[in-house]
Parts: sequence; C-alpha cells; structure tokens
Amino acid sequence: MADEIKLTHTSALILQTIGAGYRYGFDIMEATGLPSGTVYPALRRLEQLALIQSTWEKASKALAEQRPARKYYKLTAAGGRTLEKAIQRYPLLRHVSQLS
Amino acid sequence: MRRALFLIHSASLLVPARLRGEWSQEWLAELHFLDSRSLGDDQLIAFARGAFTDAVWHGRNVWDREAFAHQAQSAEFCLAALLAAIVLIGTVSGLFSMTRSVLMPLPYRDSAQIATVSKRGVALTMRAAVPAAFVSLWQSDSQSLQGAASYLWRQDSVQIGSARAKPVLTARVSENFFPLLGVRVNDCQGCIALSYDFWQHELRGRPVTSETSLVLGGQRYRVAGVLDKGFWFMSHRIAIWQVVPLSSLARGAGAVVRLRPGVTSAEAERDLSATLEKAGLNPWDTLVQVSPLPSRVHAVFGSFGLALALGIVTAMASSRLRLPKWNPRGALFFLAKTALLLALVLLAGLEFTHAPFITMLGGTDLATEPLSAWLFLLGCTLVLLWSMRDQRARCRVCLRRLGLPTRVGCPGCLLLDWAGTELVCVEGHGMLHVPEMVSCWHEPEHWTSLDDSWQGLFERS
Repeated sequence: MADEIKLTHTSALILQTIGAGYRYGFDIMEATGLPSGTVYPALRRLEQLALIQSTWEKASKALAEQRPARKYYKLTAAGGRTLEKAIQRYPLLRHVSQLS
Repeated sequence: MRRALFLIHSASLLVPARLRGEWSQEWLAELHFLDSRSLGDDQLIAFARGAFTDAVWHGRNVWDREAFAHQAQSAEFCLAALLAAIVLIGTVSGLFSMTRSVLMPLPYRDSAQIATVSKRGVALTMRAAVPAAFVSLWQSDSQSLQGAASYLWRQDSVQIGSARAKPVLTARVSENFFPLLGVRVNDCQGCIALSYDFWQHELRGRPVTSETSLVLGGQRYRVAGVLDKGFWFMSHRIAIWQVVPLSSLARGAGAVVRLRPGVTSAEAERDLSATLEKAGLNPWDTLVQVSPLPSRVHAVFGSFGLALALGIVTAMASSRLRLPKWNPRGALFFLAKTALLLALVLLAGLEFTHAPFITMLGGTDLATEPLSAWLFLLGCTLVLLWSMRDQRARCRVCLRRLGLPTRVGCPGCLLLDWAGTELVCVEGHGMLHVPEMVSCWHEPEHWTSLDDSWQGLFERS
C-alpha cells in the first residue's frame, strides 16, 4: 500500500532529509529551510502513513546531558520504497546532501 | 523563551487530551534544544508559532468527533462557546478598543464640561455647521463658556517616504482646540500632529525628530509630535491633526466649547443664542444646540437599552416560548447564557458597526443611529428568543441538549392521541413531548422524568 502513496514535493523532501540522516524535527527544519508549521504536521502525516517511525531517545542519555529527551524519526522500509518512487518523480531530490 | 513557552502551552490546548502530554513533551524538548543554541527570541517565537499548525493538524485528524459532538450538547460547552466568541471579538478588535474608549472617561481635562455646538436647521432636529465668526464671537463675548474652538475633518491622501499615497481621515482644528480640551501637543505653526495608532502603524513607532515629515494633500508638512495613546475626538479614524487659523475655517465647521463649571446645556444654548442676537443676527439664525460630549458618546448604551427592553417585550409576547419550570441550576444557566449573548450583541455592535461614532456636527448621522438601533433591536430579540428556545430544548436535569427527535402519534387523532415530537436526554434523565398543535386544555410541552430503571438503555459503549 505504502508503495502507491504519492507524496507532495514537500513531504518527499522531508522524507529524503530523514533518509539522509537528519533525525530531529529542528534538524529537518534547518536542512530543508521549511518552517516548523510545515515540518511537524508533515512528520505526523508521514508517520500516520507508516513511512517514518518516531522513537523517544533514552531518558538516561538526555539526563546525562541535562536536557529533556527528544523524539527522533527514522525511515521505515515502506518509507524507503516510497522515497525511491518519489525521487523518480522529483529527480532534484537526489541532490539533497547526505549527512556527513 | 517565556513567550515561546506560552505559545506552545496555548497551542497544546488544541491537541486532544490523550495526545497532549507527548505532543507537549516533543515541542518543549525541541524548544529547549533551540534555546541551548542561543537563538534569539524572535526565532524561538517563530518556531513556537508552528506549534499551532501542528496542534490544529492533530485536532483535525485525531479528534474524537463523536466525543466532541457529545460534549457540544452540554451547558458548559454552550457557555464556553459564547465566551470564546467574546474573546474572538476582543482579539479581532484589538482588545475591545472601541468599547474601552466609550466606557472609559473621555481623554480631555474635565470632560463633563466639553460640548459640541451646532446650528439648528429648518427642522429643529437637523444640525448644521457653525461659521467661524460665531465661534469667534462666543469666544470673546459669551458668559457661559470658558472657550470655543472649531474643527473640520475630511478625507485626504498622505504619502510617507517613497510609499504610495493612501487615503486617511484628517482634521483641521483652530489654534485653541487642543488647549481647550486640555490635551498636550507641541506648538508648531503649520505642522501636523499624528494620532498614536497612525504613528504606530505607518511610522512603525519610530521617534519623531525635527526631520520627520510627510506629504499631505500634495504638500509636505513637518510632524510636530504624536498625540497621547488614548486621545480621540468624535471619531477614532482621524489620523492626522493640523492646527490652522480660525479664519481658514470660515465656511463653517463643527464647534466645540468648554462650559463654565455649573453651566447646563440649556443655559449655554440660551446664552450663545443671546450673544448672536446681540451681534445683530436674525433670531432664526441664532438657534443653536449644545450637546455635552460624554452624553453623546454614551448615547449608544441608551440605544442598546431601548432595544433590549423592546426585545424582552417581544420575547415575552411570544406565547409559544414559555420557559420550562423554575429550577435553580437551569435558571442560572439561562441567565448566564442570555447575559453572554446580549454582551456579544453589544460588543459586536460597538466594535464592528459605527454605532458609537459621532458626526462632525456632534450628533449621530441620519443613517447610523437608526441603523444601529435596529441592529441592536434585531440582535437582542433574536438572542432572547434563541436563548428561550434553547432552554426548552434542554434536559431539565443535566441541561444537555435533548436529542433523538421522534415523531409520535397520529396527526388526525386529536383525542387522547396527540401527535407531536418526542425528544430524549441522551443521559436518560427524561423525555420531552412537544405537541404538534397547541391546545388550551393541554400544556404546550410535557416533560417526563425517567427513573434509574431506564439507565441501561442510555449507557454509552
């Protein structure tokens, strides 16, 4: 089912950014230049479509750094396949830089 | 940071309760991360603003519509919705700016002594402009006045910097206008003063220096200063004030006077007419009307009070709209709901119509006053009728709106088998029978309380 999903360019860009290794909401905002009001609802929708999966980072790690735990996102297998199809539709997405 | 936190907490109220904790946790963690990177307040606020879009997304996609529909029938929801409507009006109108200026004391020294003067026309209710010569005469000869000034306003075009010219309402006032009102403004011949709102919106609150100028009606003027934040006279829309010699308002304008302490409007009218007669004017031309400014400004409440009284009479005359039997909780809800509805009508009338506006001649114009009075009347009548109708359609026990309407009976059978509609409380408190025809031997509605044995039928899965 997920393979048949046609994403908008913005959603595909966010998916590609997550695929490139940007995992947190604000990192995705910085990488894409999109505002928070676009990125977070898009993340919810992608998660609802099972293209990405969110996980809370370990509380012990956050505690050690004296900050609240953050939620991060990663691509699912279905998300990977959908991203491949989206890149065929939007070839420029290939140029989104990989996380160094 | 504090403002960004406030925005996120406010947005979280739009997220369904079961998701709110996790949602807030994610946004607050991200905000903490941003803060740790020493981003400016503007960037934090821009980030936090996105929380509203995200929260609305949750509201639209995850909201339990059935639970919401159930909640929407409750008395608390009704009151909350009315309060929200009032808050919305406050937000849109700049925190009830018009209402505040009508309710607050007028921004002039001893404002009770300030009055407008107009000439009575052919019909005694008509008002006409006052020639500058009259104002000059009253200023020098009248015993009942401390001072008199002229003012005239008109639509003009203003250009600031290289921006395109835009229309604004400007006022030209005689030299003693501001001293008469007791308002402080920099003295500068041939300069202009800006209203506070105009300064904030058009000059972005930039400090006014000796270099600040703007083009008004094709001519450049230096800006002498900005009027106090709360200052307004007759209309809030006047943006630019220009002090001119009284003689340049010769063709007639509005006149404002300061009465001596203890002088009434009627005494002032007689004195001003006598002053003109002594100067040799035709008695018909000396008829003037003095209107104290505070009473003109507050006249809008009189219109509303009259409309409310007529609305109550109309609602009481409607025989079909009897309220249900007295019940303390129900009565309290009815009073609160009706008061909020009436406040809504009054606030909407004050903020969004020209009801509190006064014309240049010190009265309300021919269209505005009757129109606003009719709007108030219509509004008051409708909300009273709706409030009573809504009250009848609520459960007598929990005040929830009754639902599941069912048509019962045979419309042709009038004896012991009255046709009508039955509504039931979804919590199982009772049932309301509304007959199709009202008959003199039968009460218009019949409420049947249901005991606990019926509860099984009404349990929600």
